[in-house]
Amino acid sequence: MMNSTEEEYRGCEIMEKDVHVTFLELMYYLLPSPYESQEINHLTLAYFVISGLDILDSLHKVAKDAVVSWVLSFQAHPGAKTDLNDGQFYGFHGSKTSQFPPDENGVLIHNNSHLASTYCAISILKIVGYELSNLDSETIVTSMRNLQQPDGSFIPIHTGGETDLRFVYCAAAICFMLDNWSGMDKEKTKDYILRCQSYDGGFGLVPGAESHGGATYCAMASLRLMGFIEDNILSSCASSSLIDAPLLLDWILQRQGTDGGFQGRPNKSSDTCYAFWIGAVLRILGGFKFVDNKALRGFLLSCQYKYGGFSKFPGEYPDLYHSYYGFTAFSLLEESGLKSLFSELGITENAALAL
Amino acid sequence: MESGSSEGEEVQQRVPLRERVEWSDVTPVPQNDGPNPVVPIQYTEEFSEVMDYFRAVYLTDERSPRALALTAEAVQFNSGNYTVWHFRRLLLESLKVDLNDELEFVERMAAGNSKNYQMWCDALLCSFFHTLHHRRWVAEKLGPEARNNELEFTKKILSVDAKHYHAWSHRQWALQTLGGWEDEPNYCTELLKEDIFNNSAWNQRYFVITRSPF
Repeated sequence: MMNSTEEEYRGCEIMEKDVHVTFLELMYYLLPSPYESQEINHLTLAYFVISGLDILDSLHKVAKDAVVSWVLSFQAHPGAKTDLNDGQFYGFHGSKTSQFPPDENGVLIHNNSHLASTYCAISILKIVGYELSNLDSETIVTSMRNLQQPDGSFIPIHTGGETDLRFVYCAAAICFMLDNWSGMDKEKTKDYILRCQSYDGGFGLVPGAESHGGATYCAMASLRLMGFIEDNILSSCASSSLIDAPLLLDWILQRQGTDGGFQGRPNKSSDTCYAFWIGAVLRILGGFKFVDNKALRGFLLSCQYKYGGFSKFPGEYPDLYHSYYGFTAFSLLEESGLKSLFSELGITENAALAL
Repeated sequence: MESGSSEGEEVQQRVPLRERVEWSDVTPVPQNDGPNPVVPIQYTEEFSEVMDYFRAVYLTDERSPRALALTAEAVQFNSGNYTVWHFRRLLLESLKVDLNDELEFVERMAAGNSKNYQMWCDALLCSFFHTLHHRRWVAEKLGPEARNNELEFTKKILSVDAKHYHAWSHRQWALQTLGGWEDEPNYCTELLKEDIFNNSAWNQRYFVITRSPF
């Protein structure tokens, strides 16, 4: 990516909340055309915008009813006579280019429901205060079982796809938010997650893969949402023997670099988004107090853009994804004016606990 | 045109589909965004047009060479679109396309994709995954003969970015599914000689030592 001029960064010593709100508002009204290549993740992009506004305590900028009906328009509705064990998943489509109307008999022939889109859809509904009991959650969770593989992992869509911890996390977050765990075999899921812990303490996206900040978040947040580990396991040294917590702590504390930012893997550059992925794991473990807050804040500010948003690396142009994880990181740092975060879901506590 | 061979140049001097003779009998199906779209995307004209024609062939389930060429154009614009990739696999099967050509197509896609990958490499949003998942499908169909292809393909990506997470993951899959473990310890050593701090190579070394059948 191109570097922006030095002038655009000079003087960023505070977190410019109001500028970020304006940035997200612009995105809410129209996502610029470079985002079309991410069109398939339209609900995820919307999630970043809407949840971002919530973290910045500006949810009033959003037309909640319009958001609800738009999100619900992506839901896959099986025909009346559909067998929910037909191998398909009836959740939410990611975007309009993956969604096709049912045939004249109301049968959904082209069902492209996706786990990540379903997770984002339900999160958005929760954020804007939609009563989730109005959702046909039985259909979602019952058919979600069709996606779980014999090894406990999940494919994201019934027509196939790669299986890894990202979709395990989506499945766990969906069950948690809908308060219905019949969507998965929890024991199998747990075993799969545990097999992803590497020799160095972190978790890889699949068994055998290199430890990775995002994967470690997916693992720890899932185990927590599933109730297999307690909050703050470092201090309650009853120490769940489930995971090797000391080894994980050892790995994760080494992710803060000399520039103050967090890296996703050893000997990689610091990157805005890992301030959340790593920071949230530390919060879950009860180890956030070991973070050099001031240094992390300094790194994040070097990625803050003059006209709002955050970039991946210092001095680059911002994008929605890194902006969102910049906001969540500032919430973990307890920036004033920002709402506090429910780390396991990555949304505000108010939204997660329906306050 | 088979399997969308010349799309590299096509992006530069693209003739709109509506002006192409071979598409004159097809009526595009426009996207239905509903009455109140939220967080709308400012689509370019090319993007909308390709997806409108894709919808048309997808809904009529047209298993033709031109449909195959169209999916190649569509994944260029929308590389994460799993519906397009899935339809492409159905077409490859119906049209009995030589899958070795398809491996080349994926390679060009992966190269063109890497910019996108840089931007969205993280967590949930990696369209690169779909490209590799597609490649996995092709390689599985080809069977053991694909082994060297897959190991060379990942080597090529790793020569540009030695810590490319998804290339390593594809390589581990290829080793476990197609074999080829014999040279892997040497490959790890080679990479570690280039960069002793390459943690991905250390991880691979651990992977080989603990999982290789030898």
